[in-house]
Amino acid sequence: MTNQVTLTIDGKQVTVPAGTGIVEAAKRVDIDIPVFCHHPKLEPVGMCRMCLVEIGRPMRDRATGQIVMENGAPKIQFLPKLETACTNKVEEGMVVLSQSAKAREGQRSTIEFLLTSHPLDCPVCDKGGECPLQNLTLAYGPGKSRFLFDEKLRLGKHVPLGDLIVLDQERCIQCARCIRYQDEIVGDSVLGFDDRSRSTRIITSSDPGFDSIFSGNTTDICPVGALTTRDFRFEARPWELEAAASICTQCPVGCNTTLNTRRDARTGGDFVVKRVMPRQNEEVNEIWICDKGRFVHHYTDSKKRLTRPLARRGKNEERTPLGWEAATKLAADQFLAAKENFVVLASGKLANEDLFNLKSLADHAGGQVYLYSRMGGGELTAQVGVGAGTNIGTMGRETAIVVVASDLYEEAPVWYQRLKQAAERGATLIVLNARETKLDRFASFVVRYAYGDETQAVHDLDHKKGIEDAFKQAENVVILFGSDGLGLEGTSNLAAACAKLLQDTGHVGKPNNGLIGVWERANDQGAWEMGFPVADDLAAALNGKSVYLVAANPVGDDPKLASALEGAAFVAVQDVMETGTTEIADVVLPARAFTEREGTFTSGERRVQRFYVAVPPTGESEADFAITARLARHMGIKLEGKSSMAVFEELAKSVKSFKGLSYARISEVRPQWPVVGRSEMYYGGTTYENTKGLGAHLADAGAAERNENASQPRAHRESTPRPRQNQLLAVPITRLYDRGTTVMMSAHILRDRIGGPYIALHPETAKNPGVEAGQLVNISFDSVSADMTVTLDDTVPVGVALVPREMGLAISEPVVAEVRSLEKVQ
Amino acid sequence: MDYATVRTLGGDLGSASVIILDDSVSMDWLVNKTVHFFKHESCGKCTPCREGTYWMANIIDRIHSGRGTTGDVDLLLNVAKQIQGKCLCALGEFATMAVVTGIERFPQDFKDAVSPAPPLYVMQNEGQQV
Repeated sequence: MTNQVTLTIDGKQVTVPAGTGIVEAAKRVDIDIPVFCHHPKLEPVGMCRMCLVEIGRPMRDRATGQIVMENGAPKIQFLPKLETACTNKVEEGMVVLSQSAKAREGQRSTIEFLLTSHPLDCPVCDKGGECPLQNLTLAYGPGKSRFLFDEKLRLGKHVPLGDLIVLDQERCIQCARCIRYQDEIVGDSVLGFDDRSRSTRIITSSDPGFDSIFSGNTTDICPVGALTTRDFRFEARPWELEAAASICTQCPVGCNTTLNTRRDARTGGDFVVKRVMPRQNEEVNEIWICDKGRFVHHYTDSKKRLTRPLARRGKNEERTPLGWEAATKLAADQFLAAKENFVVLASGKLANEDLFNLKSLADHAGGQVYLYSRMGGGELTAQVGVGAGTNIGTMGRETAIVVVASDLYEEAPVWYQRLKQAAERGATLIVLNARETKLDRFASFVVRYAYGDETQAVHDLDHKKGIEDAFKQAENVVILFGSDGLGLEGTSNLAAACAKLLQDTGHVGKPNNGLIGVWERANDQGAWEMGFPVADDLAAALNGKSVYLVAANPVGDDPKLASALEGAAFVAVQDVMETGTTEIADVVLPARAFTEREGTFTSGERRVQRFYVAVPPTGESEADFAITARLARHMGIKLEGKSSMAVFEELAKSVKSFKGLSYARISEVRPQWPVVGRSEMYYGGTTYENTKGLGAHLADAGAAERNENASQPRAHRESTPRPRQNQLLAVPITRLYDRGTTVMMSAHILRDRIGGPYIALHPETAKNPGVEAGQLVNISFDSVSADMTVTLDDTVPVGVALVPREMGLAISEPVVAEVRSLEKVQ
Repeated sequence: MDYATVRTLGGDLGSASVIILDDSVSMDWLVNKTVHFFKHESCGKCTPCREGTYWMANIIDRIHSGRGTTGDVDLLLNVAKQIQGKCLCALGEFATMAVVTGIERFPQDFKDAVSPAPPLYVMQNEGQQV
């Protein structure tokens, strides 16, 4: 139990834990002490001097040390000067005056000083309307300036800090929130101050500029319009925007977001998403999102959206538009005729409701359903996944967190950020990977293995010196496993090894314990929970079948799968956008983007969260679960197709781990700390307050189920090939900004971050084929051969070629490859 | 001259470095020097020092170059006092000392330096006690 301290702020008594800052203590009793540089997630610095207050402390007798009494109460002694409420911690008996004439004079002075150099260009400023400086000026400022307008500093108005964030030097008030966020929370110290006195400027010290994947968050906590995103600047005024609660679809973290929408001239007056903002969920993403989540939304309003059903009436005929009934009937007839040769292949991009309807359809029709995933092991995360009540945000000393075969910074950025902070709170962070990753810097233990030895590394984990003790002492253990250098088989084996370790050490079935898969897609976990299997040999599973592909693009992803689909009897593709796969489809069914419908996703932490309609649907598109219900009806199967809430009710009835959940339950909210939202922008930033649901965890699997599962035999065959002389081991890795369809649709802002196709080699490895950085090489394995640019990176193990997924070269698992030098490019 | 005596005169001996001026020098020259010195030395971390020294430099520039008005002298004194007691470190505090004592002890020097024309800004009196 922490020591409690009682003090009086503006006449109100408040009791808070010792160590609390005065600003925070005041907030607990709804007293707003204005701040600019202070932010509840950052260490206080006392730079801006906005929170000046009078602080009185009980007077002590110098000789005896006793508190001096006066009229039966301790005598309060005020210092002659005002003090900052952000840097001063609460003390027993303290008296704080934040509204006295003296305090108000101090606050008014700070505003006047800040405004002397401020351009006051609110009418053209993107922050206008949601600007703490604007708001606090109205509340505390002097009203008129005594500073001569002509003597204002003229500085850069459009200074790019990298390609995503633009700095307006005139508006900047040197609060250093952006610098401190990057230093303290992200651990990418890429911003700093240059020069001194009134010449102080924010600069970026990295190359490329502002080299961080969390850069957008600085625009949320910037208390003025100094930092704006390339995506949103000059795009809309904050008060014109509608707000819809949503969930990020880019990775399994499940960050809560708010989609700000507006009618736009560029789209002929249609509603479009103008920006993506974080929405507070302290148990998931706190008040942050990564840049991918913030900027990759343009595909939803892309010209490549599918707008109406298309069908081919005969094998060699052109596809023509068709009504919904006719198109779904056409596909349904084919699937009915196919009987057990009916195959559904769906990806974790889909909502729980969609996946549930697809599984029901396949089960009723006697067909086979597969999850389109390059990772396996999900049947285990459904069994020994983290327990209900898990919250990385509270993990500390008592918890050991193991990250194996995952570069979280690239794969699930917000988890990276949360684990970094857990480590700083005292959690034992153990990172196992074949190469250096950014998270290593914060780990208590780093274990290096050779690609292919992942499973062994996990087996050996609790016998290693140091780690053994840490493991034994830890009350809670969480393991996150990813797919760095692994394919389906490798990840399945790795998951089994992790699950066994957790089972053997008793770290399952309770909060803050269990296995987390760092999946490729937002709702892979939901699919696993519903019992979707993955196909060991997907090409064989598709060949000759009547295939219903939903939110999957195998043709674009892998030439092997493309040729398998050429041999399919019939192909119906349901997707949001035109892809390589819709090109070859016999029937194309246009689905709504997640912005145009409602539904739920299950995060990697087994939290079910709800997203809402933000914009009207594109063309004739329908929600995936509704399309599947139409199709099912023509096959004589009755599925709910009207309301996603009703589908979810069915899901909660029939899938055990969803039991007890409902839309009402996952829409519940509780007060969160720190407070954020419209009136609190000066404090927490422009992050949206969560009024639409914090989500709820899935139920834990019973012990009996877990034991049964753990006793299942696992493949122990070595899944990674070993290269010979003059060969390299090519392994797939995940990159945040890949060249996948959705990312490329936002390429107008992310172009430089995405970059061109490449493979990465250690400089030592590059010597043998004799290649240099930037040179074009030919890489070949199996039937694949491609010319790729080489980047040299000494964190890559010698003898290995890192091949990023979705970056121009199809690679599904580790393979032996040959790399040949080509003529130097001009 | 010792620490105690200088303090009774409203000054501070500090590191005991002394600038000696004869009465041919107007105090606005000295204030101009010190304000520019502190404007340059300010680290820029806290608002009152960063903005206040910059603002004071602008005002004393006007006064010293003969573009100032009587209101500017009042404003300079007011800004200096507004900086006092609010800075993160003592540098901002020191930046105001020569300004305040200069104007209070040598009002005639400043009166001579400015024109009696109305001030360029309108003084706001919103109960700002200085």
